[in-house]
Amino acid sequence: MSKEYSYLTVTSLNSKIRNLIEGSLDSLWVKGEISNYHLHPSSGHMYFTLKDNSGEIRCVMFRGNNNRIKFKPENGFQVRLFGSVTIYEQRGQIQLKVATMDPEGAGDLFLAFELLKKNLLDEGLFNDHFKKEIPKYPKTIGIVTSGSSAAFQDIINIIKRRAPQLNIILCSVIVQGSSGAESIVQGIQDLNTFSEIDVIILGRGGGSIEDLWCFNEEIVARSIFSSVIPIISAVGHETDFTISDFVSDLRAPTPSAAAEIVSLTKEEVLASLKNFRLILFQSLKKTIEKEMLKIDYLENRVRYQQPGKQILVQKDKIFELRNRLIKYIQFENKNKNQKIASIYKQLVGLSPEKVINRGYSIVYSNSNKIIRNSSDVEIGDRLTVQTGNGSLVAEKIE
Amino acid sequence: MAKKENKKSFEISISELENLVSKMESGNGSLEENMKWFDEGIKLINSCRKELEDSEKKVQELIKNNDNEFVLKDIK
Repeated sequence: MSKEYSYLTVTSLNSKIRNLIEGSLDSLWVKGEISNYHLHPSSGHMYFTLKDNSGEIRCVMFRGNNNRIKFKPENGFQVRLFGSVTIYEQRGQIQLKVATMDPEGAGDLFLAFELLKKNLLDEGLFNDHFKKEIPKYPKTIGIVTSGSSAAFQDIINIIKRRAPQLNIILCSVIVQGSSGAESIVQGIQDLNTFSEIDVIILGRGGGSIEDLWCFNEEIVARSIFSSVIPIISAVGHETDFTISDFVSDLRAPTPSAAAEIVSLTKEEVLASLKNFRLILFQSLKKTIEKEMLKIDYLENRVRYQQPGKQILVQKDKIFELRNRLIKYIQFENKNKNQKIASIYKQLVGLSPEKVINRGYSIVYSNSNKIIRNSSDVEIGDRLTVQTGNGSLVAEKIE
Repeated sequence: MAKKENKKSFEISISELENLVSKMESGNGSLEENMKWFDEGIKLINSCRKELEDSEKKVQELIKNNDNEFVLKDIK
């Protein structure tokens, strides 16, 4: 005799299981750790496994739900999920359809971090406008960190090596745990009373997000913001970002990097000074050369007018005029001389001697008067007659 | 007091130097002015150099003493 078995298809079996599960389990909360996390790029759906020490379950969170998550899920995150259990029939796979995902543990911290960051950002505390310039040539460095830490040693060593001329003032604080935040705030305040401090390095060495947590606290952020002295935030490793990094005037990736930032080596400063000196010299040289060019230019303009030549030209003119003057005078002289000569000739011609030599005589009376009229002489008067070559005595007879 | 002046003076000297250099590089100013700026610049450079050599080097810790006052204690 053969028994009749009733057979189910796989499909109908899975369907039955599904109904069973969905019928008996309401939506519920589960907590566990995310692993095998995958965000499907095109659909935006999240697929991952939720696990604890001895069990795991596949999860899916569709895009409509997961874009409400306030943080970025990652493997290792502890989370609390709200959803419903079902079976993915095609695979016969039990899975949790997640409606809500909340962080738990470090996830909580992460959420708080994001919230505070957003609030302070909105308040404007991270604004570049408020960030003070880190002095390029500080003389006194303030340090807020744990005095017994390796980070502090690193900072000191670097500064002393590069710029031994700098003063350092430490305010030792607690840099983790519940009392860290207040200790840091006090440290910043205390150092702020020393106006000779040019810049403060605030930080600590690397650690977990819980270790670094006090640098994410609101009171620390506000204390950094209200510091009069510029603050360089140097917390943890390069990849650690804390709120103090955002609010301070400068972020350094590590405490050692901060030490290098503040300690321009003596050589670098001297090189700066040397450079200034060089520029001063060059500038002055250029200015002087410019002035000389001006002078050259003016000199050329003067030269172009050829004053030397002009003087010569004038000189020539003067000589020429002088010569003409001389010639004129000479000519005049000659003229005059000739005139004088001819007058002289005339005169001589008219002189009595000449007349006498031509046969005339001059008749003088007794009293040596020249007789012009014969009626001026009486008969019997004695007369002297001057002839050309002598004289004779005569008597008027008629 | 001296410390406060010290702190400011280097930074001020450097910014004064930058000011002088930009004045000279602008090409304005008479020859006399340029020479005056040059002289001032050289003086500043020399005093900065001297300050660099003269500096004190101290590592101190700020602590509160019994009377709750601030005290600077030398370390290393």
